[in-house]
This record gives sequence, structure tokens and C-alpha cells, in this order.
Amino acid sequence: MNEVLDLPWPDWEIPRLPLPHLPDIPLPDLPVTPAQVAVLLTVVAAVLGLAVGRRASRPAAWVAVLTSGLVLATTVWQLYVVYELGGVQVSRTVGALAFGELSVPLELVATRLSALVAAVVALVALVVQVFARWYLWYDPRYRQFSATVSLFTAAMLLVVLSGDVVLTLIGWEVMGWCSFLLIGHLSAKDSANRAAVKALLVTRLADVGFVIGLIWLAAGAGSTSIERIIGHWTGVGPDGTATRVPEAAQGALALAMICVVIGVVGKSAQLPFQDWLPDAMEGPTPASALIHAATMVAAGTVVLAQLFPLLQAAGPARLLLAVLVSVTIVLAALLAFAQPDLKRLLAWSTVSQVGLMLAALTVVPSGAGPDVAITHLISHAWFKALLFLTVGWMGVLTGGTVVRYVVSSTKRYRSLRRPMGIGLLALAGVPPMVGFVSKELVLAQAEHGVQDGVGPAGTIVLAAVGASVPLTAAYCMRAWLILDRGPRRAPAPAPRRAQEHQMIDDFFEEPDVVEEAIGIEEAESAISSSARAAVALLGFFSVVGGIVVFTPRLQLDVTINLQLLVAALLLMALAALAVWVVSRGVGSRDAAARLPMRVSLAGERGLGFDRLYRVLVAGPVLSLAHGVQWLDREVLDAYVRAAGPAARLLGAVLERTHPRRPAPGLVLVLGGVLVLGLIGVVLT
Amino acid sequence: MSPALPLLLAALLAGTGTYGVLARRHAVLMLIGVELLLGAAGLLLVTVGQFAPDPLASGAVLTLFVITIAAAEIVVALAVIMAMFRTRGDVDLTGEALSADEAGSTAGGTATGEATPAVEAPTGDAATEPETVAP
Amino acid sequence: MTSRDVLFAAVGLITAAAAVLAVTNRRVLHAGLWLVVALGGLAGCYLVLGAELVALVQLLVYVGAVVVLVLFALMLTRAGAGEVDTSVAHRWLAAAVGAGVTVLLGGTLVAAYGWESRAVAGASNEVIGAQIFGTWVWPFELLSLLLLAALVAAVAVATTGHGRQGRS
Repeated sequence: MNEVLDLPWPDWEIPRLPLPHLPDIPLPDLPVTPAQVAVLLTVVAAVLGLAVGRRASRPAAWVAVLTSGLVLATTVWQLYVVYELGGVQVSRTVGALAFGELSVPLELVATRLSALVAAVVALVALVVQVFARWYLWYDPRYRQFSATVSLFTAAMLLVVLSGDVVLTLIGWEVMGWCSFLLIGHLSAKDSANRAAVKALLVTRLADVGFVIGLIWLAAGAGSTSIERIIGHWTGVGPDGTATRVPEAAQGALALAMICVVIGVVGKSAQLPFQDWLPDAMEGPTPASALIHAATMVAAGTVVLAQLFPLLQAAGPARLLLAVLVSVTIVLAALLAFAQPDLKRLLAWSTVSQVGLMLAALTVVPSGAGPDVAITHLISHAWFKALLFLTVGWMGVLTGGTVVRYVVSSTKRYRSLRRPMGIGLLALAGVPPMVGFVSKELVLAQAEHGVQDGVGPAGTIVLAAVGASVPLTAAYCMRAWLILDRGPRRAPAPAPRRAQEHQMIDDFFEEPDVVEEAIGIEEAESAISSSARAAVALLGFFSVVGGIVVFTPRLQLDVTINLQLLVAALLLMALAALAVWVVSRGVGSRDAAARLPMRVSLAGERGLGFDRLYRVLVAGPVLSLAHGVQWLDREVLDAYVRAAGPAARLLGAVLERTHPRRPAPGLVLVLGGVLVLGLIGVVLT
Repeated sequence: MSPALPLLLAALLAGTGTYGVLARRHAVLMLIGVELLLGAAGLLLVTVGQFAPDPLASGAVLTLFVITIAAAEIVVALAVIMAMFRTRGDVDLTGEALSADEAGSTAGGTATGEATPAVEAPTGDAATEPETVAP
Repeated sequence: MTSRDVLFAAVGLITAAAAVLAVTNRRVLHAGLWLVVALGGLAGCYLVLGAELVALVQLLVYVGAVVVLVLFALMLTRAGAGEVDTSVAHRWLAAAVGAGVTVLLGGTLVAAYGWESRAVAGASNEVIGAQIFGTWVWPFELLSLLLLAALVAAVAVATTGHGRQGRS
């Protein structure tokens, strides 16, 4: 096939831009490292945020935003420090734990990639905190929300900077619980509670694999330090001497990594655990932005990137991951197209994009690192946070994110137009957005992997990634067409309710009532300038963030195949064109309205995976619980209950036979003891 | 010195104590017999400790422990006896006074049931073999 | 016969006689007082055997505290004292058991240790102290718990009787 398409186009090597020579700031000899400060500061922010200002949310907001800013500054400083130190900075936390033969150093390790991811996490957290201050202005539980966001960020930073699987597990667990709190923030809503419990249970189920896998790895290596675990299982000694890993150990490594992959797939909402993420949209939009953009769903990618040499060594685990994420990428992109709610569309697109990140980890040729996956993680963090915050902003203006509420909203609210456009373009991967850069890298890496012979995983992943390109373009185009539908009739000359400011109620009568002019005015006034600035910052990064690829921060050893690139762009354009054609003639310009009712309903319900979970997991677990309860109540408790009447019965019998004269009996008893003693003495 | 003398004294104290436990009906006097038994045990421990010393000093230490336990025991026993006296009006352990005065009273019955086994545990064993008990 | 033997024989005789009187005396209070003598004599025996610490504790705890309790109990329960001893036949039986215990124990012990003289070389008080707070420290702490429990139990038992009396 390659021969057929062999046009005389050269492959394109990514040029390596030298960093502008930084002013040589001497590294001060601080008693703490940036990694320690970043993690500690966010934890302190969480505690302080809860403690200060019980009546007003203003102090909590100051605490949250200020500490987030400080953490961002710290992580940026960490980037510099790690660069100066030549790649790795190790810092201790609470000191090594004494666990007998197992060494538990509990160290934080900032590497080239983890420092970069930490900076992105800190940036997104700061933006989310700023935005949440506006979004939850009237929420009486803003304090709890911002504290949970801080704790969530702390957990993510811990996972990112962890050099010890125990710390990874701690961060992983804390993130699970914080996601429960964030998704269920609007606890008065039944659906929010259900979504929170569902997210917790589904990820928890997968976490079983994660915990088992990590413990297995640590137990085999005799240490919980990630570096030593990798060294042990890949047969590289502490001094760099490579030894042959025995066959049995390779089998064990494959099994352990499969367990880890199951956990990662659960947290990253990949098949078969994907269904919790769209339901998690019940949480407030800033929470969704945080969970989807930079933290929870990306944590799996981060952990696998840390354990990358092990994943490379464990072929079966890699193949399993490749198959799962490939199916997820395509399925989630198709489902995203059918969603009637814009927020759920974004949720499914997250599932698909996280699949891309994980897919990039499975097709790395030998010798290369996980840099491509991290690149996509970073670019996804930017544009997805931008999209979520913009959709949240839009939801406030229009009263909902369902398609019929948001129709032509970028026409009504002009200030939404730019961030939304940038976000969707980046998501679709249109040049020169950051999404384009990272996605082309993933594609190039998959192609590279296939040529390098990474096995069947490469082919599957290449097909899925290739298919995802037009699909992503299709749903982005669909969203844009809905949002950017022009007004159907000429606007009335004078707004009927110029004095009235109840925006949200008005929109049930839109678009006849609400004028463009009012839209702009209120959209401008509705959002706080700081939140606006935050969104603009994300927009800026989404446009120019691709530059990061050309810096020595990332070591990308892939060459871009220009044919593939052009083919991808063509497919993208064709898909967008097709969607545009299909959408013509539909009132809301929603291309998905052409789908048959059954298909769109099934898509909205996530293809009935909910039911599958019930039948496969919830049902057996519940019946098992009932069985145990029955066993406990009817079998085990019966003995306990019987003990009471039995003792009473025995007591009654004895009471009847008791002479009530202890003294004579005592003589006989002691006499008997004496005789026994005598016999004993005589016999010996 | 000869170890026989203290050992014989210990044996004598044990015998006396046994007699005191068996021959008395007054609960406090019975307790005196118990004290003598414990004294015999202590004397035996000290004697052996003095004549066959060990590095752990177990003879003396265990005697001290026995004395402490005896103090705890006597406090509880006396409290039980006082409770028994308040509910029954006497501290007779043969149960004859009960059958004479208060056989019908349920309060007396429960008091016996509580007090007697606490003072002397082996009564329970006697109760399981009623046919061997001579009236 | 060393002087220690003679001394022990004297103290031991007093102890034994007081013990016999304590279990045979028909007057309740006298029996209690003979117990004081017997336990004091036992303390003397310890002293002669060279265990000064144990002797002092015996005096302090037994003669000082336990016997006082016993005497109080005797005085408080004297109102109901009718017959203090069991029937004559029963007493003969008891005497037989007691004598049997004495003979059995004495015979076994003396057979085990013999009559010949031995050196008295017990642990010094320093060693005992070090051992109590070294080797035996956990049983020691447990005993302090036991004492506390006994204290609470005694108060509880005694108060229960009060309540019952108050109701009736």
C-alpha cells in the first residue's frame, strides 16, 4: 500500500528550536524543592479554604486563587530548575518508611516531562479557580467546592511528581474521592448524586486492578520506588548493567501491567468503563473542566508514562490497551456526534481524545519515549479546558447546554464566538492550532510504530487514529453549525425589554425576543473580567501552544509523513463538508437531527452500557450481598441467637438440680482433688 | 539452713487453709482460709526462690504478684459479701439459713446465685453432681 | 541446726499455731485477729529466709490493708452471725482433707528438697527491682489494671446492694 501511495514527498523532521538563552539565574540553595512546595501548598490551600470565612466566600476565593497562582509560579520555576539540573530533581517527602524488606522511599521526582505536566496542571487549576469564583458566585457551598478543587489539584500534582507507587496510589485515591465530591456538588439533584456514585463505583472497580498491579510490581522489585521497579523488571541494574530477565518474570510483568492497564482504563473512562464520564457532566462546569482537561482522566496517561519502560516490555498489556483504546476512540467519537447536549458531546470527545493519548503510548518504537502522549495530554488540557469553560459560560447565558437552548448562541453573544471557535478548531485539529500539532504527532507516531514493527497493536491504533480524524472534525463541525446558526429573521428594531435583565427566562422565547445587541451587552457584563481573562489565556495557549513541540523540553523522534498529513487534512475537510451538507435544511442546523430516532436515543444513553454494568456487575454483586446477608442472618446468627435460649434452658435445669448448699460439695471436690494428687504422687 | 522447715510450714499452712475453707460457714471466715492458702503459696515461692535462685528473681517477684492479686481478690470478695449480707441478712454459705428464713423470697434466691460462685468457684462443679452431695 | 533454723522454727511455730487458731476459733473477731498474727508471722518467716522486700510488702499489704478490711467486714456482718462452723461430721471430713493436703504437700516437697542444709542466696533487692521493671514489666502493668478493675468492681458491687435495699 505504501508503494502505491509513494509520492516523491519527503518526510519532514521536526526542527529543534533552541531555547532562547535564558539569563543565567543562579539556583538558590533552598531548603525545599518546588515539587514539595507545589504539593504542600495545594493541600494547605484546601485546608485553609475550608477554614477561613465561614460566612462569606470571598476569603476562600482569595485563598484558592492566590495559592493556585503561587503553585503555578512554583511549577514554572520547577521547569527551570529541572532544566538546569539536567533532567531530574529528586526530593523527599516524609522520609522513608520502615517496612522490613520492602523499601519505601516516598520521594517526589520531577523529570523533564513531569515538570511540564505539573506546570500545565497548575495553569488549568488556576484558570478553573478563577472561573469558578464567577461561575459559583451565588453558590453557598463555594468554599467546599474551591477547597475540593485545591485538594484535587494536590492529588494530581502528587501523581504527576510521584517517584513512588505509594504516593501515586495516595494521589490516585484522593482524586477518586474528590471527583465524587465535585461531580456530586449539586447534591440536591438526584441525577448529580447518581452520577457521583456511578463515577466512584466504576473507577473503584477498575482501581482494584490498579492497586493489585502496582503492589505486584512493587513486591517483585522489593521497593516502591518507581525507578527501582522499572530497573528490576526490565533487568537494568542500579549501575546501568543490563541483565537478562527470566521468562517467568516477563509473564508476571505482563500480568501486573494488565492489572495496571485495567485501572488506567477505568480512570481514563475507556472501554469498558467509559460510561461514567458523560454522566459526570452533572457536576458544575469548572469541575468538569478540571476533571476532563488536566487531572483525573489524564492521570492514567501520566502514570503509564512514568511506567513507560514496563509498558514497552509487557507486550500483552500493550496490546490490550491498544485494542481497548482503539475501539473507544472510534466509538466515543461516533457517540459524541449523536449527543443532544453540548456538554455531553464534549464529554464523549474527551473519552475519544484520552484514548488518543493512551494510544500514542502503545505504538512507540523501541528507543523512543512517551513524549507524544504527553504532548497530546498538554494540548488536550488547553483546548478542552477552554471548551468546557466556554460552554459553562454559554450555559449561564442561555440557560442550558442542550442543543435547542444553544442554537445560534455565538451569534447572539459575540464574545463567545472567539473562544468557542478556537476550542472547536483545536479539538478538530485544524492547523495551526495546538490540537493539530499534537494529533499529527500521534498519527505520525502510529505510522512510525507500524513501520518499526510494534506488532498488531500498531495497525489497530493507526486505523483508529486515522478514523478519529474525520469523526472529530464531523462532531466539531456539527457543534459549530448549531452554535453559529444565523438568526432566522431580521431582528426587531427595538428590544421589547430593554430594561429587564432577566436573561435566562427570556431565552424560552428566543431568538425573536433577545436581540443581538442585548446579547453582547449582557454577555460582556455577565462574566467577570478575571474569568474572561482566564478563558482568553487558555485560548491563547490553544492557538500558539504548538510551539512547545519545537523546544528541547520534548524529545520527539518522529518524522512527519507529509502524505499522511495531507490525507488527514483532506479527510477532515471532507467530513466537515459532509456535515455541512447534511445540516442544510434542518431548522437548528443540527446534522445529528438527520439520524434515526433510535440511533440518537441509543447514542444519548451511551449504547446502554449502563444496563450492561447493572447486569454484569451490580446484579451479581447485589445478589452476592443478599446471599451473604442471608447466610449471616439465618445461619451464623442462628447460633448466636440460640446461645441465649440454650443458656437459659441450661440455667433452669441446673437451678432445679442445685442443692443450694455449697459447703458439703466443696469438701467432696477438694477431697477428690487430694486423692487425685495422691495418686499422681504415688504413681510417679 | 535446711529447706525442709519452711516447706513443712508451707504444707501446714495449706492444710490449715483448706480446713478453714471447708469447715467454716461464715463467708468472711472462709475467706481467712483462702488467705492462708495464698500465704502458703507465697511462702513456697519465697523458699524456692531463696534456696534455688534464678537470674529473673522469679521467686520474690511472683510472691509480690500473688500478694497484689490477693489484695484485689479480697476487695472484690468482701464487696460481694457485703452485698450478700445486705440482701440476705446473713453471710452463711451452707444455704441452711436461706431454706429456714427466706426460701420463698426471689430476691434472696438471686442474691445467693450471684454471691456464692463469686466467693468460691468450685461450688459450680459440686452443683453439676447433685447426687454426690450429702445433705 | 544453724541459728537461722532455730529462728525459723520459732517464727514458724507461732505462724502455724496462729493459723490453726484462725481457722478453728469460734469467735469471729478473734479468728480475724489470729489471722493478723499468722500473716505477721509469715512476714517474719520471709525475713528469716532473707527476702526483706517481700516481708515488708507482706506486712504493708496484708497486715496493713487486707486484714483491716477483713476485720471491718467481720464487724459489719456480725449481726447475722449464727453458727460459724459446719456440722461436726463435716468438720471431721474437712480436717481429714486438710491433714491430707498437709501430708501430701509436705511429703512431696521434703522428698524433693531433702533435709540437708543449703545456703540461702536469694536475689538482692536491686535485682528484684530491676527485674520487676525489666523482665516482668508487662505482667506488672497488667496487675495495675487488675487492681483498678477490682476497685471499680468492688464499688459497683457494693453500690448495687445499696440500690436494692433502697428500693425495698
